[in-house]
Amino acid sequence: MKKIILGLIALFSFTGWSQTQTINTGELHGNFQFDGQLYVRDSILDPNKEAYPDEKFLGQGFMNLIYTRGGFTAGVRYENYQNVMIGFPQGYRGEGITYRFLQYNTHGLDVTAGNFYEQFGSGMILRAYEERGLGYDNVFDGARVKYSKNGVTVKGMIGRQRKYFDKSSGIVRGVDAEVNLNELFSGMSENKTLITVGGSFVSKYEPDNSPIYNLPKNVGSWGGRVNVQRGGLGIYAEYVYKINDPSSDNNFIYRPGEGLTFAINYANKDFGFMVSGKRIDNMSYRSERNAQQIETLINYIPAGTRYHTYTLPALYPYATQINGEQNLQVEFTYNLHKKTVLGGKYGTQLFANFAYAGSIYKSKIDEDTDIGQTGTDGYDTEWFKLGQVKYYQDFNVGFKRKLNKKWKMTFTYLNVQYNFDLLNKGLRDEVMIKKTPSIIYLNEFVLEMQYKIKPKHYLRFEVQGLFSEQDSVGRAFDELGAGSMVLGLIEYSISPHWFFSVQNIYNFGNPNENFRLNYPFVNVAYSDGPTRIQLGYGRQPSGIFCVGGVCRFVPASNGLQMSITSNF
Amino acid sequence: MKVFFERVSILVVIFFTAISCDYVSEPFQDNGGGPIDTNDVVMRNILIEDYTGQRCNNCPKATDAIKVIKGLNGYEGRVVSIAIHTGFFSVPGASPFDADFRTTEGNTLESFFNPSGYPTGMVNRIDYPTDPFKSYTSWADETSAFIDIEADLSVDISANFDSGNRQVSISVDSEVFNEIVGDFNIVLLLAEDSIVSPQVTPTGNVLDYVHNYVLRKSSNSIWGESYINGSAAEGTKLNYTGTITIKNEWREDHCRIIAFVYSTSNQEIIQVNEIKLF
Repeated sequence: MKKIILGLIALFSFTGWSQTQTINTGELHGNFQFDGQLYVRDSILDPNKEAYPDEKFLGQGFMNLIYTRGGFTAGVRYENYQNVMIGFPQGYRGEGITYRFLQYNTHGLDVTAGNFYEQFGSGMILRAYEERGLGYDNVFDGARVKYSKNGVTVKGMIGRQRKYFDKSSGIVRGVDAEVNLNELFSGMSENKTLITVGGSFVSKYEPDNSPIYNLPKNVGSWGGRVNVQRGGLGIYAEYVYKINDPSSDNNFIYRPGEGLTFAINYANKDFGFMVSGKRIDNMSYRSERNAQQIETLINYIPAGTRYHTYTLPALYPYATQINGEQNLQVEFTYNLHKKTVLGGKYGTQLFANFAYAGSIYKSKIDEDTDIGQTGTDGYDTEWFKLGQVKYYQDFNVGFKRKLNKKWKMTFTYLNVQYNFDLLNKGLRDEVMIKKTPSIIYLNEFVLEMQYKIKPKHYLRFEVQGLFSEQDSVGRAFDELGAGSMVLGLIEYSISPHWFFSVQNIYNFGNPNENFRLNYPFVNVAYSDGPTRIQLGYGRQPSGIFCVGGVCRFVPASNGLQMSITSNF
Repeated sequence: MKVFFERVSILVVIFFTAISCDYVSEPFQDNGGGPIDTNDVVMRNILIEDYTGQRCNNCPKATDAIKVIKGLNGYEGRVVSIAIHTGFFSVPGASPFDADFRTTEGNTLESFFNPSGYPTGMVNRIDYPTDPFKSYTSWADETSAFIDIEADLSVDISANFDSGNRQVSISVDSEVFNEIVGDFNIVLLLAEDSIVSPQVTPTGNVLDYVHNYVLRKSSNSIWGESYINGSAAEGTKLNYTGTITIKNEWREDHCRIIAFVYSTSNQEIIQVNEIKLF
């Protein structure tokens, strides 16, 4: 493989990389990113130097190169962590080629050797993907074959997963088939109802080195799915099952896992509606049974709550619980017509969202065995019974409206219940069932205004408030995070090159008077075509950063941040 | 099309047949597999370095895991552990969490190995630098990898405590059983057991939690001193001596001495042993 990489590098080297190059009939594309931070000692924010590394400056980045010629594609990615920035998984240390592949596509056949990302259905038994903001990358290294013809797509793959700069000890094998009935059967080709069905089987192999447990070396999982579309209506459902898979995640219980997810959505030009839900029972699925956090996950459980991008609401996100969860989400959008009393001159969009997530119902398997006891079947459950523990609840409502030719506004109100014991302390259901868990109640608002000064010159303002109430059992606030805070933001952008922003968060409600701090932050960015350079300086509060229900903790820090992105 | 489906079906059937699922039925546990017949051969011992803190609610699970490992059939006397209180969770807080178990040695180790997330630990410091830290749930698996391995050298410790100056004089004797090539250092540590002090646990604060094998001090810095320089032939006998002074607040009757030999190139510990002072 080293020879292949050297060959690719030699192939690329004469092209340069400042812009797209044509090599005979081939094309070379790529992108580059660097992020770094110069850490400033802040004895108030960080009395124990948790966010003040010895290196003082940490930087990390990557560069992708993709070469295509006809049906042939080859790619490499170089990554460097010197050293990995605070808040990212510490396993990323060093530098090297972490991704390389060769791929060809001919007459519906698609063959990949090397690294590849893949997803079966919604990902509940297999999804390999990369999310750089989280430090998440569970890419496979192996081989994959896909074949598509007449509405039928069949995939087969085998590989090991990436674990930082190493690989998982487990091997993953999988097949997936998806059939588009409208394409396969000529009698349905004119049908307005579009139906796709699919099925998957995945198995992982990992040696059993445990002196304590008799562990399954091969753990299989399978699932089926259906997707129906008619006009603005869409219905999706998927069921998955996994055999006994004792692991660090489930406290080494031998109970099989299963999951059901569904989504129904409808939209027309005035109205949008979505209801989705899932029931997950013991569906952690990793190629290393002792892996932690975001390491070597084979599957992905879709998020079931709204992902908030505004700064303060994003401080209390919900992380999908792979060990078990009941979740329901309902969302509406409605457009008030322009030139009406309620809609105003330019129209108004209303939106509302409600999401609930809680445990599945768990009971003892017998009188002598605790719920979740290691080395047992774990627990019994009932499908249609509400679980004992609330994990998270979010109700948010708001509107977007253009006020006149210069001004636009968006207002959002949020009411959130956040299980601190689960989402910050990581307590298991069996512990929380025995005591009343700590719930943080949050009332939040966000007001966003945009003002067009003149062509290419825009101002944007945000005012945010987060008001935290005492938890359900009256514990002291200082066990429960930072308390109430407000945020103000002003952004000024001169299209297409310049961007400036000034932001401050004031944590006025912190129960510890020493931490009633201001968190000022200034940002400047310059864009030139595909290249963007950004500099930021100031304090940032600690928080949990999530993408798609997968989260990582980011400690509070102070310093100069820089970022460069470019593509060609 | 028909040919296509036939071929795909055959492939899928082969795949499903070849990759069976391993359904495990009770008993789920096997408790170590029984005593090992060593024929008086000195076996390689295992050091588990447990990175912990009194405000880390999951850390008692790691402590429990070590207890289980030490109690497995055939593992008795083969597993040495040390609790290294470092990092955010070991910073003294408001009462009752105001005890400070941090040490200069522990802080040095933390800076060098850089653990991520507590509890975590190293088993004979294998897989340095790529993946030295192992989840406590995998410590038993990692330990089992050494349980049938004969040692390349012995580490026999003797210690005398002088109550007048509270100094422990330690002597380590080793015999090389198989030629050893490389540079190896020896480290002497003092650990204290049975310290009653609060600990956060998954079920709440336990004020009378008993902390065991808490790292207190090293004799010769946490990196030790050279023990094998370049190579040591089979039959070579080695000796090392050192002293550690026990502070007044530490109880000598609950202290133990740990000695281990490690490679200075890859950090792997090739032998470890311990004795109780009393």
